[in-house]
Amino acid sequence: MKPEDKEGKQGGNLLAMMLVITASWLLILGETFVFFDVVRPLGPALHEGDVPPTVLKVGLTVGLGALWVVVMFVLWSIYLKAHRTPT
Amino acid sequence: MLPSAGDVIPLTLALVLPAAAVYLVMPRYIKLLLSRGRTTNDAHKGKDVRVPTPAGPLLVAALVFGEVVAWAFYGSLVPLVLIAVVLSCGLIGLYDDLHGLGGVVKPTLLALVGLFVVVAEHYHPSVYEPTVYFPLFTETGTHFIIFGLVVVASIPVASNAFNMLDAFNGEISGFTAIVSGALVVATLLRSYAIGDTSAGTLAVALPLLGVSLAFYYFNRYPSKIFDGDSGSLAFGAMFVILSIVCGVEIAALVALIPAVLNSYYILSSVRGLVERKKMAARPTYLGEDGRLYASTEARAPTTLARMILLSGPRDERSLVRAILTVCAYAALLSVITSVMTWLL
Repeated sequence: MKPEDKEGKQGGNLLAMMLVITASWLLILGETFVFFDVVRPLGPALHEGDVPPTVLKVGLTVGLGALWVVVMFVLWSIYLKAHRTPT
Repeated sequence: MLPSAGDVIPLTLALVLPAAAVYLVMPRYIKLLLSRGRTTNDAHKGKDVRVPTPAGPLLVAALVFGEVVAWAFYGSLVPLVLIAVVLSCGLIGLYDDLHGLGGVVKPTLLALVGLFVVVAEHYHPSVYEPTVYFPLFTETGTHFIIFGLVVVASIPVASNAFNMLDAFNGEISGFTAIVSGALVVATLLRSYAIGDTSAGTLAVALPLLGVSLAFYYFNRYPSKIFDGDSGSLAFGAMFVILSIVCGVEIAALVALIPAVLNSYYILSSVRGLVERKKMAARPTYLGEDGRLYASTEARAPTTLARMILLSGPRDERSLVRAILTVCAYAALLSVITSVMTWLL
């Protein structure tokens, strides 16, 4: 019998996965706000200012990227725990 | 400014001609691969099902054809740069299909293709604008070096993200069609809002949509042909460079969230750049009932498919439909992001 002929329930719903995607999207938007409202006003534009504010701005921008990675890691852990089948 | 009535025919041809090329030539190409014994096992079927591979060379040829059509009508440098990118990445992928490339060599070669794009912009500053437009806020300043580094890194990241999402019948073709549709919408909205995007820019974005849609017809369940690394790497590289030359990077990033998460979770779970063929365990397995189950092995990589299957087993068709539903949701968020960027 071909797999497409099989009857039966197909998996669960995709709500949890959609929430992970939504969280990732909201984080991008939120970090955009922080980038423009907090990081960007810290000093003159890159290539023009002194080194310390430039390094600070680049560092904070990298930090925003790292925050996204950490949050996605936490969401992954929560997702796996929520869907782990008891043995 | 939106495309004028005079742009309708060029834009239609840029979309339809490469799609028609794939649709008309693919059956003969499949026969050619079969006659030469170029087949691989479809791992998610109950029995030994051989599927021709790789479709990549034909897909690359169709993408090049589409860019030639765009270049013939609008004549900018951008289609030529895209042709160079898609040919280079297609060749890298083809070598990987035939002989295999290491987990470090492949990203390095792909980064060199990104470097070529930066060099092209350096000598002819009309390829892309080294500025990122963010939703709700404004654009960043012009930063050639920082933006160039992002361009160099983006090709290996995006190409491998596409490659890692190429595991099931119709997954990569459906995903590429969805994200390239979101990219076309973003480019249209940018054209409407700030008017610095020409119909020529839209024309270079359309061949990827046409080719991926036509390929989906052959690649959907049950697949008549697989794209191979030559196809997925070319699709990924083309998409990311299109997002840069069209100036819609954030919308493209949002559309790519499922692929980015898939790659991120794989790399996190296997702790490094490891070739798929060398991974210690498979993320999913085929049950006796013909349905796919999430692997329970701790060393198996965590993929998007495995995460979806954790909520229950599915047959392959249902699993791909679920994955593409998630991708379509991300594409919807991408369109919302485009509206926030260009219309609010």
